[in-house]
Amino acid sequence: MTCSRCGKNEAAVFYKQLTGNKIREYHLCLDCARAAEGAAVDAASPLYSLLSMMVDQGLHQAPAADPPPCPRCGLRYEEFQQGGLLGCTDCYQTFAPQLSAVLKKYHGSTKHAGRAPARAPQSAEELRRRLAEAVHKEDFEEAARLRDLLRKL
Amino acid sequence: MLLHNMLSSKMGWASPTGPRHEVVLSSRVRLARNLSRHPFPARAGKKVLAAVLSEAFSAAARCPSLKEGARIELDEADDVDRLFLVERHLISNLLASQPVQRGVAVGERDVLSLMVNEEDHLRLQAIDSGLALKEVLTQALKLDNELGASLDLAFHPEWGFLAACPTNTGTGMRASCLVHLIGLSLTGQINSTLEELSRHGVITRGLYGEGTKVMGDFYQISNAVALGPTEEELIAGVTTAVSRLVDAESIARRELSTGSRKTHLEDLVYRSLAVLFSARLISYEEAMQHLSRVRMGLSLGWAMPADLNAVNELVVLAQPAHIQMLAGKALEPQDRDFLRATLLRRKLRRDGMEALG
Repeated sequence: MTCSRCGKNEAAVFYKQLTGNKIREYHLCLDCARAAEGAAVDAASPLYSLLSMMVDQGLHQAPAADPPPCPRCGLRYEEFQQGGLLGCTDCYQTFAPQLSAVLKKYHGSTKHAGRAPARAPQSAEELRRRLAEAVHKEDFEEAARLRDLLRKL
Repeated sequence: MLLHNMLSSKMGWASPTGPRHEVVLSSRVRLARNLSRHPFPARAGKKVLAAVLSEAFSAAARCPSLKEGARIELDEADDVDRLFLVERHLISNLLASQPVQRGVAVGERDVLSLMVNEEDHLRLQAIDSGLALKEVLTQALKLDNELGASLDLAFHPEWGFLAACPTNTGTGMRASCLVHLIGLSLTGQINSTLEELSRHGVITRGLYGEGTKVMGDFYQISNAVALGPTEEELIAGVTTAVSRLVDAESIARRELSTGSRKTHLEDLVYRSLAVLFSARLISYEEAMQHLSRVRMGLSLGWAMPADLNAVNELVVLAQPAHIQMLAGKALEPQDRDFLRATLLRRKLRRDGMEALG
């Protein structure tokens, strides 16, 4: 997609803004994003700094062969570089070396020190309730997973 | 209009009761969470989004923190409803602009809420009055625990909670304070003060977050990174930065209200009060400018026929969708400006007279 402002460069910043009741969509190249006055793109936004960081990185590095797309959701690394969003949790495995560098550069760290999720209570009662729910919703994949967990108990 | 009854319900975060509320209006903690089993919303089809919404809402129905509140599917709401939720800081512009298979669950007093299928599957939010990030974090983590007990959340042992955008990966947390910096903008110190803050690992934005214009001298201060420090360390960083701002703002307000400058400030504040009491047509932007000045006068303890509670509420209520919600229908801008001016006059007069006893 080309930049909606200059019509020349490839768009790198995708952006929606609500003005009154109207939603306007912006897709801008980084030069225009930087030049756009005030409202269009906020240079303080995390997505903006991520994207410009990746563009800068791309300019200073020899182009490496793109990794193959994510086997689960089909996302190509190039799409991530353009939009700043990953497709699924498996993308984190597929693009692990690249993302490790991105995380390091953006956060200054790759070691999470905060909390971990509260895991599901694995009581038989809880599992049975969730199994019944899954069956009711015809989510058989989830039902099979819960049945296996129940058997282990 | 689904949400008309929410108009009369209290917004906990708008009441001027929290610590240092003369400068800090509210503290907010947002946690990004995803379900391991589904692709992220931007990459998910309608069926997957529907499955996520139903899993999230049934989990919310079991959470003690959200059980009593409302669960709203956004494609069942109309434009005014959606904008209303944005103005109440309960959903984002992104969610309002793509309502299909998106939703929000809201707890009592609007303190806790859960956005479904925004950039991430789940965005948990806790918000309350004043500089109270620690307390707000406790609330958010309580909801996180409740949800984590019945949902399989995406987590990487090294990188933490996995988010659709790597800028949120790690704690998934953005902690922010909404601050009122009118003193610093009147003394011209605002830019240098905000620039200095970047050394403390925080970023600054206007009232509506990304990309919208700053209105009425209200700014949001939040943590810049999400991975590396613990939640508590990140909160401590933002709290330190905001405390410095509060100090700088208080000094600026004192300077402006002593000696020869006092008359100038009084002139500014009382003129704004006169506009709010007299205008027959007023835009949101203009209303915010005058409310901002009156808010400063009140926080300096000046006797005025208005009170801080009413002013804080009006900052929220004077927004376009709230005005339309009051009217019960979508309005042309001129009708909106008329209704807003009427609301300002009535509310300031009524609450103000009570405040003066």
